[in-house]
Amino acid sequence: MSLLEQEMLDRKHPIAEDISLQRKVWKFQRAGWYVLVAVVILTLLGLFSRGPLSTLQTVSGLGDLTVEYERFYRGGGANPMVVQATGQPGKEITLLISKPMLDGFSIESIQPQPVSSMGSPQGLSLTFPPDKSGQVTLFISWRSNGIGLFKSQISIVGGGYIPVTQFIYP
Amino acid sequence: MVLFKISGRRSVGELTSFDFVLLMVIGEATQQALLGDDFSVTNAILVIVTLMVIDIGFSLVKRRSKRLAKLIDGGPTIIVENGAFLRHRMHEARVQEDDILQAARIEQGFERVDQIKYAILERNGKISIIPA
Repeated sequence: MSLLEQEMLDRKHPIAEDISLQRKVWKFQRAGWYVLVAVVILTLLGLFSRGPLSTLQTVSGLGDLTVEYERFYRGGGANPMVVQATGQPGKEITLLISKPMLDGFSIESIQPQPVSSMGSPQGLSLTFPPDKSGQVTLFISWRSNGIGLFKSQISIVGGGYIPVTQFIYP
Repeated sequence: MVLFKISGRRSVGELTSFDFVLLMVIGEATQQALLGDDFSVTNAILVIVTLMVIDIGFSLVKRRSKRLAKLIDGGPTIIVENGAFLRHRMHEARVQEDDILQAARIEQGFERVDQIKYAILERNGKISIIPA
């Protein structure tokens, strides 16, 4: 019998041990440490918002719309989104934010202010005057209200669209 | 509970200064998560009552079943036997020779390990010494 096996035998005196259970507890602890470290690493990578796994920039098929956003959010937190739309110089651009996004999030601030905004069952239409090159850059701060998966899209009326999938942790 | 189980008994038994700060931060974070932005008295009472019910529930369950009690609280472990360190057990339980000798000095005024018949790592993380 090896030293280890001998050491791990149950003692009856001075106390009745249950060393096999204790070894399970120790194993559970060891495994738990790895889980905790994995959680920290995944957090740094951005599984729980803000990190390489979460932050992404998407360009629409037509190339006229770019959205920077996060895949993952935490309930109650505020996150920025940058929308870049290209249209024709001198022509106003109308962006449509679909309803699921507005269900899961509320707009905390939006810069610049739209010249007009309109709600509809499909979502929210925001109209902006373009700069000289026909571009609009929009900074939105979203506050997460909902929990779960939200599939929505941001589109230019008469232009390209970007499907946006977002997950909000409780 | 599960997190405290993972971090082991020592974190409850002997608090280092870091453990102490950690405990306060955990308390603060838990309080925020439980209360959220609801500062009503009703909510505070509900949280307290829920926690107390869980605590009482655990103690009742522990009285009913010995096996569950062992799972929740753990059991004592012998780490010195007849003056010899049980090193594998000490390693698993993250106890060092110095911890045992310190407990031996404080409790019994012993100088050497061969004066110890048994050292037992108790459920609360303290080390008790039985003299040879």
